[in-house]
Amino acid sequence: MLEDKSRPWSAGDLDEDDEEEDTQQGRFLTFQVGREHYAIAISHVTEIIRLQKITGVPDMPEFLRGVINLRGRVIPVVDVRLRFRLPFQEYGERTCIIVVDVEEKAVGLVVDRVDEVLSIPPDQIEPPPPSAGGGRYIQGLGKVGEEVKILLDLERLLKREEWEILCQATQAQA
Amino acid sequence: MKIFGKLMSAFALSASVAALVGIIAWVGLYRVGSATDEMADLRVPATEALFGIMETQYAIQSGERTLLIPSLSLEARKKQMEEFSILWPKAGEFFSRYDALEKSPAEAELWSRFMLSWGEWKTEHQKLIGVVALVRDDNIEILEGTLQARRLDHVRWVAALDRSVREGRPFTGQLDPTRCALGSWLGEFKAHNPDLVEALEGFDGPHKRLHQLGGEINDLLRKGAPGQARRLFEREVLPTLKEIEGSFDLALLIVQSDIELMRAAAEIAFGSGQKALKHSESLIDELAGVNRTLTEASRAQASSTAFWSNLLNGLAILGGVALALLLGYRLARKLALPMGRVVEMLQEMEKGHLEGRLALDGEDEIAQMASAMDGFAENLQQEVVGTLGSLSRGDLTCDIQPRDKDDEFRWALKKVIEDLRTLLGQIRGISDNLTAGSGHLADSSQALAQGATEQASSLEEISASMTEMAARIRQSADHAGSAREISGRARQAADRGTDRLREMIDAMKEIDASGRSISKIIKTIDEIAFQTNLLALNAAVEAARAGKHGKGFAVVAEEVRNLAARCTQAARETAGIIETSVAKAENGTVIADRAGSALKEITEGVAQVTGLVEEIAAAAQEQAQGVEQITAGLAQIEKVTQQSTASAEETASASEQLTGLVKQLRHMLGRFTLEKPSERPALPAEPETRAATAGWGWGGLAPAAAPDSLAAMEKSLGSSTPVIALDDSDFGKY
Repeated sequence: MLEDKSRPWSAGDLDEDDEEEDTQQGRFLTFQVGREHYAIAISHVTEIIRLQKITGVPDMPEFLRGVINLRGRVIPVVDVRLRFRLPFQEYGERTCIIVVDVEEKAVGLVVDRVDEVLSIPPDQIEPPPPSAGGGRYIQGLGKVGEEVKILLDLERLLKREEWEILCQATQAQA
Repeated sequence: MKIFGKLMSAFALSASVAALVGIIAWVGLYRVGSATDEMADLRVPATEALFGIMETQYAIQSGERTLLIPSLSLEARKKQMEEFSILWPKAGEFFSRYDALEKSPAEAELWSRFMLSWGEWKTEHQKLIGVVALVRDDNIEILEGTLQARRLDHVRWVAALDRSVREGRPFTGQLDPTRCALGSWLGEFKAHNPDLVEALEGFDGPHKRLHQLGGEINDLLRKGAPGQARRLFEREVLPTLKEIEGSFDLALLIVQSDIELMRAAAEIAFGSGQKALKHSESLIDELAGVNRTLTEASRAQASSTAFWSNLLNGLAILGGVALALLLGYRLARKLALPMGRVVEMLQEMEKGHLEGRLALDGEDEIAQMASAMDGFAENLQQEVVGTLGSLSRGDLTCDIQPRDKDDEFRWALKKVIEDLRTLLGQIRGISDNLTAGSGHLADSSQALAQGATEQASSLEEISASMTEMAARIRQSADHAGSAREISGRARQAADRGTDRLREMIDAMKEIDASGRSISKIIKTIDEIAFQTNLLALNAAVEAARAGKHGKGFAVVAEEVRNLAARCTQAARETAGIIETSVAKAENGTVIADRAGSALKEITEGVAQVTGLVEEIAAAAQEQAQGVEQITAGLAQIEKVTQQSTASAEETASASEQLTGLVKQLRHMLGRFTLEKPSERPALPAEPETRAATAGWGWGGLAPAAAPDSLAAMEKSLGSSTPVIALDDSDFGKY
């Protein structure tokens, strides 16, 4: 932990000139869906909130659970588990919604639990396995200690057509 | 003359007097009775029959008078006729009753005359009845009057019509044939006589015709045709009126014939009938007079007979009483004097004075009785008193000779002497046996005393054992008591244990409850930690956004996150510990429940033990009481044993006394002389040897006097001998 903690400092110290880039580069928010640990780039993350009441929207793909009201903004919510075609699981105490910003649009991701914010250096990231089922939205595999975090590509995760749907849904809500 | 003859002649005389009295009374009563019988059997029924005849005669006469009333209805007449049919048989009954009675010649002659006269009257009556029976209508007197009146009415009606025709004015008379007087009368009247009915029917046609003609004439008059009316009147009305009058004449003729009949009947009734009736009535009066005279004669005869019978009876009774008294006095005197002397002598004899003698003369039974009594007194003085005197001196050898087999007195005396002799012989034999028996008795009683002493020592040992046993029982009762106390304490301890266990279970429940509330708190802490973690993450995200400036903030956020993580960890561990503690507390509750049930079983077991111990204590108590009773019983037995020892000793001394008494008895018996010296057998010579051979039972008792009875006695007693004959060794066994 101390090491994890010290890294940002060292990283920060190394890239003092390029403040914006350095600060956000290589920093990820990790979370769990099922047994696996995933990570998304912190630049996408707006905030992490507890599970809120999700208002269902009819005639939508299954993974699109509905919308929530986040301090006056209506944003669509995607269940990552269902997006990964895993079986649905009831939401628990540790279930959280990560509000991300993709192409200027706010989207809520429902995950089993949120782990931490950590830095993964680029040399610790390996390319994704070729032609896997869900490979198109895996950015790479980050190694942290003994564990492996799956780095997700959010733009790809929320595909273009789905994205359209999302946008329409939110616009309709708005 | 003997007493029988005297008594019989006296009583015969009295009886003949009584018989005389009786005969006189009987004859008188018989005569009075026959006179009364005549009155009852002859005169009273004759009078009754005569009265009955007279009564019936008057009834028939009054019936005849009734029949003669002309206004009587046909039905009433018929009824009256029927009544005659009852009255005549009634009269006949009275007739036959009188006819059957016994009669004097004058009476019989009178009776035959009366019968003739009665027959004449009856013929007259029949004649009258025959005439009256021909009358066939009700109330003929009024009928005649009515018919006359109606006839006149019609003549008048025709006259009125004639006047109207002549004067030529309308006729105002009745034109309706049913509403004129004749018409309405015909409508109401009902004739019984068929001739009369026919005659009345003859009215119908002409009558109607007449009234119709009246109407026609009236019409003609109104039309103003008086000539025609006159012609019609003369041609039709007058002949019709003639016709009607003819009918009236016919009806009147019929009715008048009835009236004529009634008149004829009245002539009979008040002429010939009356005469015949008067004659028979006078004859009945004569008959009644005869009867009255005869009754009077019977009564007079009865009363004179009764008077004479009473007089004779009175005289006979007086004479009879006087005679009986005189004879009775003389006879009583003759019997009473000698009987008095006999009684006197018997009273003397009752006192034991045998010297008096009667020595009466005479040949009757009293004199015979006196001489027999003299002989009896002589014999009693000589034989009985003499023999009793020798008995009183102890001499039993004298011999009595009875006169014959019925001489009970001397036989009894002889038997007394012989019995006394036998009895004394037996007593002597018994005294011998007693001597031997008393010796045995002394031996036995000594053995008994010895046995009783041994028994007493055994009893002392037993009572010592019983005392020891009682002590042991008391000890066990004490032990049972302390055991009960201990089990009671154990029970109390078990109860207390149960209470503590309950408290412990409560405490564990409290622990469980606290654990649960701690769990809730920990959950809250966990929640807070989670939220803190989220805040920290958000802070980290914000810090990352802030770039270089957010670095310090990022560190703080990381620290906060770590703290939150540690907090979560600690909360999780605490929750684990609490869960373990709650589970352990539950386990403890289960164990405590088991301990509780075990304690309950212990309590129950202890209660059972307590009950058993109490029973043991009670049983020991009862045993102690039983032992006390046994001890008391033993003491009594001891006492009895001592008494029996004393009794045995007393028996021994008594048997010695008995031996002495037997010797005395034998000495006393020695003074009686039983047989004449030459006949004496060796009976009481050596009693000891006889007793030794026969044992000490009753075997030696066999005198020759009554062998049968004594043999039976011996047999019955012999069977009991084995029970009595116990020797010393046997005694020891028992």
